[in-house]
Amino acid sequence: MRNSTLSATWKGTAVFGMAALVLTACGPDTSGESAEDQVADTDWSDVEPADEITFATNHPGGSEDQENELIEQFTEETGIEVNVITSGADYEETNRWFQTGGGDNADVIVLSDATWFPNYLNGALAPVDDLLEAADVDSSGYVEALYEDYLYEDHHYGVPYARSTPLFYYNVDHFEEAGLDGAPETWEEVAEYAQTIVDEDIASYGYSFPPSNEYPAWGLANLVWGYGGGWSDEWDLSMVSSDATAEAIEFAQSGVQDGWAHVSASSQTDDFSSGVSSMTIQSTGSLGGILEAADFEVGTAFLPDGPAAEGETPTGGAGLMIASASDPEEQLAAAMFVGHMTSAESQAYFSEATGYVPSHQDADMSSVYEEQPQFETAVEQLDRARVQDHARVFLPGADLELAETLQDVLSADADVREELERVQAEFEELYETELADELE
Amino acid sequence: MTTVESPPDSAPSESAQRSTPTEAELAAARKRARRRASSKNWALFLLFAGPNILLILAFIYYPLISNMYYSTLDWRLGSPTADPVGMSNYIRFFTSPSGLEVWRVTAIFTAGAVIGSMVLGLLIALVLNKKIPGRTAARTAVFSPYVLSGVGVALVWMFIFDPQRGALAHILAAFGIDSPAWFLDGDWNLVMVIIVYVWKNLGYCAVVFLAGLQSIPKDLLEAATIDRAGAVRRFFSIVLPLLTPTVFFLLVTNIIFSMTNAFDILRVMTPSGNGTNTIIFEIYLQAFGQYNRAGYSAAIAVVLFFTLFIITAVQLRFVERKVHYQ
Amino acid sequence: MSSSTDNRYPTRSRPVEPKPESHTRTNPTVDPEKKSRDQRKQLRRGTWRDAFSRRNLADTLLTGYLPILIALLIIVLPLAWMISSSFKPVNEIVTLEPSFLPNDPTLSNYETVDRRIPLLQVFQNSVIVTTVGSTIKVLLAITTAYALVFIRVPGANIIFLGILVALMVPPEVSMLPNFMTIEALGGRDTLWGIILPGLGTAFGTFLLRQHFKSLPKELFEAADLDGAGHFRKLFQIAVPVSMPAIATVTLVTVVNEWNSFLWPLIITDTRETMTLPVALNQLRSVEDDVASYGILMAGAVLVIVPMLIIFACLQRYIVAGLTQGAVK
Repeated sequence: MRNSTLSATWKGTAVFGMAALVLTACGPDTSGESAEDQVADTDWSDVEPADEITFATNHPGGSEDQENELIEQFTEETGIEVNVITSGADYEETNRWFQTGGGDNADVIVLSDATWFPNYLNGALAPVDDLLEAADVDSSGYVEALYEDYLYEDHHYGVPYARSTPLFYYNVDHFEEAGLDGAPETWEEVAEYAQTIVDEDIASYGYSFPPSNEYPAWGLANLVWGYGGGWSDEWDLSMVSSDATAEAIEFAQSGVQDGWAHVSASSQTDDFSSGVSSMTIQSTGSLGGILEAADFEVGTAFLPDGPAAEGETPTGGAGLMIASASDPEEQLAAAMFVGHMTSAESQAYFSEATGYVPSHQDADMSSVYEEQPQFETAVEQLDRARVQDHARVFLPGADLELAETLQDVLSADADVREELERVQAEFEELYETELADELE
Repeated sequence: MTTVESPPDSAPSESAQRSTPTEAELAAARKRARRRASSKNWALFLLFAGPNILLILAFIYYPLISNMYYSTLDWRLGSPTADPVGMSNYIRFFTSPSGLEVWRVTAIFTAGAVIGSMVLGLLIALVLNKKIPGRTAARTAVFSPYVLSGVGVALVWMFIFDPQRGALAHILAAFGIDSPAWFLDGDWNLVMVIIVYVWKNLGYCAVVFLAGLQSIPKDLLEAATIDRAGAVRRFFSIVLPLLTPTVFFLLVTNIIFSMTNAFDILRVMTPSGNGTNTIIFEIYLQAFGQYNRAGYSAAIAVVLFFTLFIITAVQLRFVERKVHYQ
Repeated sequence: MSSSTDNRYPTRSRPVEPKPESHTRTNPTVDPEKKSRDQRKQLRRGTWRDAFSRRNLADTLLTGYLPILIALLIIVLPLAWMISSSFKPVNEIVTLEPSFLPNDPTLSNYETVDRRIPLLQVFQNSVIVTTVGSTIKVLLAITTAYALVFIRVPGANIIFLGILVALMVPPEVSMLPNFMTIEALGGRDTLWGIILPGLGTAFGTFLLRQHFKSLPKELFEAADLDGAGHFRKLFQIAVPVSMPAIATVTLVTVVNEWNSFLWPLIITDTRETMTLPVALNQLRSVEDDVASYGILMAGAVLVIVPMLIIFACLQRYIVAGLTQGAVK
C-alpha cells in the first residue's frame, strides 16, 4: 500500500518533470535574461562573405520578376547564391513567418514600416551601420528621411527598399470643367475646390478620404502635421489628443458633414479613378493602377500645406533587414546583397517597374518621367518626407486603433476630442502592456 | 438510440447459457484462447491503436498542455525570452474591454449563425420532404457549399458584397438602396460574415432535418394530413415536438461548429478582424496580427477549449437523462 | 484546419447504432441498400404520378418547386457568378453595369494565376497531401477503432474518452506548439510537415468505433473457431462489411484535407510545397490592382470546382458521413 502510493507520487513527479523539461526545451526562456547583442564587437575585416544566403520576401508590389532579375545580377557579380523564399501574401504574413521561425529562417527579410520594430525588440535584427561599411555600401546615398525611418537608439536596423509615400491625385478634366486652375496647395484650398466641384455638380464628391482598411492614419499624418499635431511626439502619446491634432481631424470631419468630402466605401483609389470624386491622397505605388483605370487626365501634386506647417509627407513601405541570428559571414554577404538591391541602378529599375519611389538619391528616373510625368512629383516630394510618428509604426495595434477611430469619426458625427482622448488612453495602455518594460 | 449493445467480446456467458453442445465448445474455446491471448492483448492493442494514440498525444494533447504553460507568460511571438505572469492573461481576457468585446462578438456571431442556418435549414428540409421528383438533386445542390473551401467561398462572397463592384450593390441600387459599408463598419461586417457562414452551413442543417423528418412515422402524419388547412398547426403540434432530438443535436453541433469552424471566412473577408473577432479569430489575431502576444493568445485558446468542453459535457448529461426517461 | 466541413463533433449527442438487424438476418456482406432498389423504383414512379396529378399540381409547384427554386438560386447563383466573372476581362469587372455572362470572355485571369503561382506544382501538392494524408488517416482510424472494440485491454474506455476529448481541441489551438514541434523535426516547408500533425484522427476513430460496435458478434464467431488472428478478422470480416462507413470517413477526410488552410499556410514557405488554398491566398498581393477580382475568382474556381465534381459524383456517401449520427 505504502509502496504503491509512493511509486504513484514518483511517477507523477517524473511525468511532470518530463513535461516541464520538454516545454522549456521548445518554449521561450523565462529566466529574465535578455538576448545578447551578438554583432556588437565583430571585427569585420577578418570575415569572408558566405557563398549562399536566404532572402525572404513577399515581392512587394508584385515585383517577383524584378527581384529575380536583380538577384541574378548579384549572383553574377559576386558568386553568392541567393535562395528566395516567398514568405507570405503581404507584410503581415511575412512578419508572422519571420517571427514564428524564431528569426533564424532567413538572412535578409522584407519588413514593413509597421512590422520591423517588434522584430527589433525580439533582438532578431542586426544593426546595419557597421555591416554596410564592411560591405562597402555608402549609406549616405540613401534618401535621408527614408533611411532615418530605421534609426532607433543610435543604430539603423534596415535599408529602404520598396518605399512609397502618399501622393496627391486630382482629376484634371473635372478641374477644367470647374474652371479650377492647377492643384490646391493648402488644405483650405482643397476644401474650397472640392466645394466648387460639388456645387457645380461635376462629381459626387470633391475629395475622398480613405476607409479604415486603407491605412487612413498614414496619409492623414500629413493633415495633422500641417496643423502642428501628430499621432505622437516620439513616445509622448498625449500628442494624439492635442488641440492641433483635434483641429485637423475636425476639419476633415466637417468636410464630410458639409458634403464636399466622403469616406470611400472600399478604396479611395476606386472612387477617384472611376470619377466618383475629384481628389484624393493615395500611395505612389497606386499611380500605375490609377493611370490604367482612369479615362481622364490624372494630375499629381505635393501633399497640401496646413495652417501651421508646409505639407510634409509621411513615408511608408518596406525595408530590407538583416537577421541577427545569421553567422557573421552570412551577415556580411547579406549586407552586400542589401547594398546591391538598393543601389542607384537597382532602385531606378525597381521603381520603374513597381511605382515605389527610388530610395537612392542618385537613381536615374528620366525614362520613367517620360512615360509618367506624374511620377516626378512623387520623387521631388521626397524632400518633404518626414519620419513617421512612433505611435503609428512602433506601438503594436496603434495603427489599427487609429484606422477604426478615423473611420468612425469621419463618417459619423462623433465628438473628435472625446474620441482622441480615448485613443490616447488606449495608446497609453498599449504602451504599458506591450513596450514599457522593454524600452526603459 | 435505445438499442445500446454491449461489445461482442464481453458476452461469452450469455452465449454459453444457450448451451447447445457447439455453443459450449465455443465458449470453452474462447475462454482458453482469451487466457492465452491476454498477455498478448496489450501488444496487439498497441500495434493497432498505438500509432494513432501517439499522434493524438503529440499533436493534440501536447500542444494543449504547452498552451496552458504559454498562457502564463508575457511572451511576444518570436521573442527568445518571456516573463511568467501567472493568471494575468486570463484576468485580462475576462475583464478588459477588448476581451469582453470578443465575447460579445462571439455571442452574436454564434446566435446569428446557429439560428440562421437552423431556421433556413428546417424550411428547406420541409420543402425537400415533399415527395416530388428531383428532390435528391436539389438536396445535393443545397448541401454542396458545405464541402467547399472556406477560402474560395469567402473570396466569392467578397466580390458579391463589394460596396462598389459587387453584385449585391448593383441589386440594391436597382431598388434605390445604398450598399451598407461592408468591410468597413464593424457591425455590418458581422452581419456579412454571418450571412456567408449561414450560406455555407444551411445545407448541413437541411440534410440533418430531412433525415429527422423522414424518421417521423408516416401514419402519424397521414392521419393529420386529411385536414389540409392545418398545415402550420400540424407542424407545430406534431412535427416539431417529434423533431426535438434533431433540433437539440443540431443546436449543439452548430454552436460548436460556429465557434471553431468559421476561421477561413473571417480571416479572408475581414483580415484585421474589424467587428468580427470571434474567439477563434482572436486567438490568431492576438498572436499573428498586429500585437504578437503569444502568451495572451494561448490563454484565449485554453479558455476556448474549456468552453467547448463544458458545452459538450452539459450536452452529454442532457442526453443521458433523456435516455433514462425513455 | 477548419473549414466548416471539419466535422469533429459528429455524433456526441446520439451515438450511431446503424440498424444492426439489417446485417444479422441475411448475408451480412450484401449492402442493404441494394435490396430495396426495385421497391424504390416503384415508389419513384408513384411519386411522379402523385406529384403531377391534377389535384396536386398547383400544390407541387407552389409549395414544392417554387421554394426549391428560390433555395437553389441562393445556393447556385454565387457559384455561377464566380465562374462567369473568372472569364471576364478587367473592364467588365470594374464596370458600373455588369452583365451576368462575360461579353468578351477571356482566359487572361487564369493566365495571370498561372503566371503568379506554379499551378501544376501546387495542384500536385494538394493532391499528394490529400491522398497520402487521407489514406493514412483512414487506415489509422480503422485499426484504432478495431482495437478499441475488439481487443480487450484494461483502460480502453479511458483511452476512448481521451480520444473524445481530443475531438474538442480546434486546430487553431494547437497551431503554435505544433509549429515548433514540426520545425524542430525539420518538417517546415515539406509535404510531410503539412501531413504529419493532422494524422492523429479522433473523428474517424470515433465514427468507426461506433460502427464496429454495432456489428453483430455472430459475424466473428466462425473466424474465432478457426482461430483466426485479429489481422484476418479486421481485414477479411470487419472491413468488408463496413465499406459504406469507411467510404464515408474517407470522403469526409478528403474534403477536410483538400480545404485545409491555416496549417499549410503556416508550415509552408515556398511554392514548391504550397497547397492550393495557400497559393490562392497569395494572389492577394500587397498593393492591389484596381481590379483583381477576376483573378481571385479564377483562383476560387480552381480550388472549388474539383471539390464540386468529387462531391457531385459521391454525394451520397459525403452527405451520409457529414450528417452521421443525426440520422436514426
